[in-house]
Amino acid sequence: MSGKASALLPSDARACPAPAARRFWRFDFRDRIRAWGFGFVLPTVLFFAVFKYGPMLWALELSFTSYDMVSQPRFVGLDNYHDLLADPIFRDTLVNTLIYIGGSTVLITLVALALALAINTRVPAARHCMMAMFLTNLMPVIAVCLVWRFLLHPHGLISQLLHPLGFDRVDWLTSSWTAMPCIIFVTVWRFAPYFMVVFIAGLLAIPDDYYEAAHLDGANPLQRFWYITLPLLTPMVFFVVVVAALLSARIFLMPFIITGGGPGNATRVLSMLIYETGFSYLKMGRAAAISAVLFAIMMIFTFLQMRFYMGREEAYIR
Amino acid sequence: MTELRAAIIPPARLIRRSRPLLGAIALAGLAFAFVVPILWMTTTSFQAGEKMFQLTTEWIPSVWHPENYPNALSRAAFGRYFLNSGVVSFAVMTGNLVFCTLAGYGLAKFHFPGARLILLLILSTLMLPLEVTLVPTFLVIHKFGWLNSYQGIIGPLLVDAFGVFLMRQAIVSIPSDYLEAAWPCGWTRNHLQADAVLLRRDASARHRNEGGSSQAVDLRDGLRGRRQPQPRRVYL
Repeated sequence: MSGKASALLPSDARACPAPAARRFWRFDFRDRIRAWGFGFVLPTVLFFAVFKYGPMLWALELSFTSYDMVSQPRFVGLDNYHDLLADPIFRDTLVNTLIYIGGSTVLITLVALALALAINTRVPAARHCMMAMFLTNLMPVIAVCLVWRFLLHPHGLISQLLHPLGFDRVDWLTSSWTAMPCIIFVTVWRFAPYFMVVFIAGLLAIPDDYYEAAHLDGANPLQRFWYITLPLLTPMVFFVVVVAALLSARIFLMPFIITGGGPGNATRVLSMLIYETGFSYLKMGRAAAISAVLFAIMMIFTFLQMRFYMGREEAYIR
Repeated sequence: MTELRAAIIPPARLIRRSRPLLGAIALAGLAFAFVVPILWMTTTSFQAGEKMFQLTTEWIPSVWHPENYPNALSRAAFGRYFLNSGVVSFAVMTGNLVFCTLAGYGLAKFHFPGARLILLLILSTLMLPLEVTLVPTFLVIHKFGWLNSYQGIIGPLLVDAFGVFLMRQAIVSIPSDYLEAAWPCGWTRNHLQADAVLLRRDASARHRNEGGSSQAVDLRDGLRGRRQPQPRRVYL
């Protein structure tokens, strides 16, 4: 057995004398094991330092500068933030982002829950229906965006289907009232079936005994849902809300490809504004300032959700 | 009594009997609504371009244009694109497999100072949208001179925070006793990870088989040992 391998065995610790009292600290076998552990984690730590935390801190630094990637960054203090507050485009974009996050999170959660409940009724062919719905998840987001751009065209399929109902060629994507709801709709279409599967997993984990007991006590389906399904599904609901909110906050392709931010500013979201400011206008400092605002929003969301979640958790324990 | 009631109101029973069928039809309709855009995409891909915006969609094309596919493929260097996708996704997958497993093992089974903090810092990047670091990540890639290269795409995706978390949770659930039982066999930490954790083999059964000898075991032995009959094989 080689010396290198044996160095890690506990028997070596017995062979070694106890640490001498005069030495303050010695690198004993426990430290060596800890060092191994840290060694396993080290590549990942370096990765996160270089590609996540480094850029984040750099973004914060850049947001106080004016930088166009050609000349050196020039310190301008809070000017970037000051300009943003005065910029009507930024304010519109901020509102759009909040509407998009809120709308798509709520709708994704509700639609996914409804679909999961429908499939969990265990009617015949429920599995096949679930698989058909999940097909939307197999499409790349870009393909989804392109197809829906054609479908929502004034002469596209949606207008065709709504024509008998008295709608006459609605300009879904070019009128400022319908563009954002359309993008939220496409987001829900693409992502709700994914979260439906999450909910189905949660529903299957609820024991049938509870429902049988409630049935014997004469609870109707609505009561069974309200007093059994929903409380036991709460952790799942929170998971879905958190993940859907974070997902929709970072989605950039949907508005970028379907409407390109238009009409006017109606569907421009913060992530898109960051991209345009940084890479079309080469205002890196300003883009970093917008990033900081988006980051602050995400942190508020995360914090609120965690507070709410923990509050509920304690309520259940009590 | 029951038979009597059933005989008196057959329509109710009929409805009850057919309820699963009605539910299935409703559910199928719902599923169909989700699938319509995909069907539209497929059928339109076989038709002439001007058929896209017509008053009535031809769900079954009257004139087939299967040449759309070879046309599209010859329009751009698709072979190259497929190769690019393959290279990038293979590299990202390999990186995630290697680094997420290592980090998950390190965070699950070792207690070095700062381990919890590292896990927390890695997990909090999940809350961080890519767009927040979009600009500086681009500048980092620019600094490395990686613009317009494979490593420029692969680098920022090499380790996924969620992958690290998943691996850590999976490895935490493996009892440490099994790892510790394997020590006297002369298994080093490296072999332990490869054998006991990744293959999830029963380390203690192996220990009994070998009579607790301190014979060095390498990965090849571990794989060969799998085919031997083992007493009381426990799946971790």
